[in-house]
Amino acid sequence: MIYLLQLLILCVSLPSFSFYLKALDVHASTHAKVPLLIGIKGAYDTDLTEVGRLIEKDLTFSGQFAITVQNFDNTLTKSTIKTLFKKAYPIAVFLNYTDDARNAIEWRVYDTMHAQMIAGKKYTKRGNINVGWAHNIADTLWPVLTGQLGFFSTKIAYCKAIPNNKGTSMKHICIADYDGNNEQVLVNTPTVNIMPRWNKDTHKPLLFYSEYTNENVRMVMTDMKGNRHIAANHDGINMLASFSDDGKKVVHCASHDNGTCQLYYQDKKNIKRITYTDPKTNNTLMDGNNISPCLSKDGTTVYFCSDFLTGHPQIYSYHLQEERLEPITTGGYCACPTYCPRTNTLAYTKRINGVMQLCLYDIAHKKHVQLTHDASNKDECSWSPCGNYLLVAMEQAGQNRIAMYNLPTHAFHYVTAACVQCDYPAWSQTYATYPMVHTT
Amino acid sequence: MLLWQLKNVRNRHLLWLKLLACSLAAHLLFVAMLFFGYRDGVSSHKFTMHNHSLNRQVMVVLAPTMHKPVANNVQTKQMTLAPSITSANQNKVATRVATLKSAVAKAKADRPAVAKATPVKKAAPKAAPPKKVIAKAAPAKTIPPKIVPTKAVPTKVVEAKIEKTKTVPPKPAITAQSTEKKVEQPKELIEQKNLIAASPTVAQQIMTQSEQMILAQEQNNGPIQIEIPYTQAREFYQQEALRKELSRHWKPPHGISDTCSCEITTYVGNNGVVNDCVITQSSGILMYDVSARAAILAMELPRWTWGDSFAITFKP
Repeated sequence: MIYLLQLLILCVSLPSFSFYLKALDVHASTHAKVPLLIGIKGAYDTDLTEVGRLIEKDLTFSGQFAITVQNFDNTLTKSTIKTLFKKAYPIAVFLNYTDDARNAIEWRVYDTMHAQMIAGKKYTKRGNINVGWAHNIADTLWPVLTGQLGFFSTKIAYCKAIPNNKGTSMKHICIADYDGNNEQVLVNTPTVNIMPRWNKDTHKPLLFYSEYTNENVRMVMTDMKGNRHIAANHDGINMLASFSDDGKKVVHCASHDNGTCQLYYQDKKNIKRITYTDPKTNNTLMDGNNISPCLSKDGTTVYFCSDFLTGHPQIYSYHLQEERLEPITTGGYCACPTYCPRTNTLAYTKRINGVMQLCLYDIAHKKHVQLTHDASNKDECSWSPCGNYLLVAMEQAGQNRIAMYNLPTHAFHYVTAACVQCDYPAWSQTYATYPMVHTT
Repeated sequence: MLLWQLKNVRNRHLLWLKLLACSLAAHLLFVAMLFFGYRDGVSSHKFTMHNHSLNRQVMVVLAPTMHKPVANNVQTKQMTLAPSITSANQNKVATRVATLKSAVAKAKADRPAVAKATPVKKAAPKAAPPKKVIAKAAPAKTIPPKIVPTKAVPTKVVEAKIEKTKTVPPKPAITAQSTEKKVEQPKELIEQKNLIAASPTVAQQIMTQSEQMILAQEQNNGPIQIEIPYTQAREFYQQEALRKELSRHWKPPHGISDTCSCEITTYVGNNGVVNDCVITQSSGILMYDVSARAAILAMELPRWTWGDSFAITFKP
């Protein structure tokens, strides 16, 4: 009885001790860079210090970190690391060689407040140049720091106009690092080479592009050594190959001298032309030009641009298994769709008030967002592997430049110089080994 | 009671009675210790933080009894804001709301950036018999003016309602003269009462306010209503202070995903210095966790957190 009474009293008194969970809204008025220290451990080494500097450059690119590089002794104690916290470095990355042969670099990320190691990895050098090592290490560091995929060991390809003696211009295909550094000419044949597209193999990069000949516009494939092979050589135009993530399915444009540009889907078994007849208007894809195809991650959907229904280019998605066409845009002038498998979004350009602007389409939620509002025309965009950047060909006052659009910050970063005419950008996958052009 | 007199109680029963009394006393002592000792010493508080912008004002409606938090929809708003309105008046309000909604829609179409709902005040419907309304609207508990927020104008109206019901005896109507008589009351109260005096009756006041609230919600620019019991008011303001302080110091980097969140537990010493700050649930994004922790370390911790520990969940 007494115990029951006690229990009753306790039950009554308990609610007074309960704490209520509240959802508080905190407005982060400003964004700030996170301070980070890159420590080079051991005796001074030129290569390792250079790698540290290059990693600093990579990590600073996104605008999320404020980085300092510092050399340290080989012996690193907890108290030394905790001192860094007092110097306002909450995160520290330490680099050191693991052996005397200096074939492998070890990196460790520390939470300096508790002198606790968060992550660490040993990187065995791939390739011969320290830029490649630094990009590879930055790629492995990046997910730990930001939770995003690394994009430093990528390459961008674009066309560069080269004036010739006849007063016209040829177009060469150049490749460069993600930030436009280390530019190299990959294709320099004395003709017009346009619309480069990368394959999806992360170990063997191949570039597909269209080359103007006297008879047709053929599709040519080249590797990083400059070995070229003809990929498609039909009458008319052959261009814009797009691969699925596994690299086993491909879709490209070809006219086959029929007057209009059509889409051709190819897998291991067969090749077929994509056909569709609109039930309302009886218009078929053959009635218009169909260009800029891109395959979804699993290769079951093709996103492309066509004017077969309205006479103006619109974005459509075609489901290969169901042979069903779905309009994504229904008005205006929309072109150049490009699919991001990471975010499941589609970027495209749309003419708004006479200016081609970048727009984004969320495929899952079926929502369109206009990304840019400035006065320059944007054309031919390409996603970064992480889905945070868009490579765009920008045209303003007769100048064509490649620029990078940062989606989180909504800022543009020019990749090519103002004095050269560049267009048709394409962003590659993140490669296991940093690719370099070795033409003979 | 005669039976409980000492001479009538048998020794066996007396023993039981003594045991019961001792047990009760011990228990009360234990409960008191728990209340004063446990709460201030060992307890941990949990808060959730978001970094998205909060542009709207927060209005607190102090409820004398335990209420569930009000959802942001119109129907519940009517129920909680004007509990005293009779069914007939509720119908009136409902029709009023319908007309107001259409008016708002029209106003939105004409002028997209509508900021205030003041024009609607004039169009307040006629009130029900005020005696009834006051009798129902007046809560039994008295509410001290300290915890009443004074920022937003609509808040004042609500306070005025509560204050009025507390001090003024149930009269059929409240006039301006009746408020002027009580000179010795603080200025704040007089202002509040003048507010009431401007409107014909409390019922009308309630209805007008409910309309304002509905309008505000409709326009999505007005104050957010949070209804909390009186006993939670202190915690609410503590959290508000914490929120403001944190928002001043939290500067996360760009490009953080909307889905990530991290929980940080902070142990504060008796002198207000952070003894330890542990990331109890990481977001998996180191820079995000670190920025959140840096905000806690940089902020000036409020007095109530001293010698205490609290966990904060940061959500973008």
